[in-house]
Amino acid sequence: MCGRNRLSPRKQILAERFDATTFGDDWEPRYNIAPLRSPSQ
Amino acid sequence: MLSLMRWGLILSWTKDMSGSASMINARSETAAMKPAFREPMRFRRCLVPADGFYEWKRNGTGKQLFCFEVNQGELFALAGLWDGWKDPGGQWIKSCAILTTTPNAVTSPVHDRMPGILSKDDYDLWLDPGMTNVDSISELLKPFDARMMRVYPVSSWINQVQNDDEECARPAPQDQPPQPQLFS
Repeated sequence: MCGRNRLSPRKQILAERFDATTFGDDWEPRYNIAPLRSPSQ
Repeated sequence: MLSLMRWGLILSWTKDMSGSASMINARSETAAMKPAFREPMRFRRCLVPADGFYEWKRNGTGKQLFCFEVNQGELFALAGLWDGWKDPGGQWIKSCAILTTTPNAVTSPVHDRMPGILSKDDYDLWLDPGMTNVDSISELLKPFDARMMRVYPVSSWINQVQNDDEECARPAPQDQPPQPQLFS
């Protein structure tokens, strides 16, 4: 596979869903995450 | 903890990052046996959040791009492996690869593999650092329930990586294969 991913929810939704306590301040929704770029853990 | 990572695994013991381009995916069926993925599979598993993924399908001489979603665009988690690598300047770079599995009924018409999508109930087990039994872990990487997924065609806008906006996910008419040229 050599696809792309989308991660468009707002930061708050992401943090709540994954019960995350820390998160970068520079988060922006992403619609075209390609390999060798920067998806999120 | 949520953190940004580079997509394309750079193993901690490699001299440079040149091999990462070929390690964006790992086959779930064999990852535990491959030298590159054996340790990450046991000790460095992660969740890669997403609310959609895209794949190309060849049609005739061109390609059609499709978007896959879970529950109409709900947030979900892909099964990932990660590692940390220190570059020559001493900077740590975290990177990841996405595990793949056999396709379900929704993805198989487009591609012979699909990313491993984890059920919410399995997040804790997947991330549990004490769980090093890869056989048990691999059981979590079965094809995701097709009844919870949908697929729709999108435009070629996403082909350019610099295009990173809502247009990427907008449903588009499916491109038709080129028609044979007619001569009068």
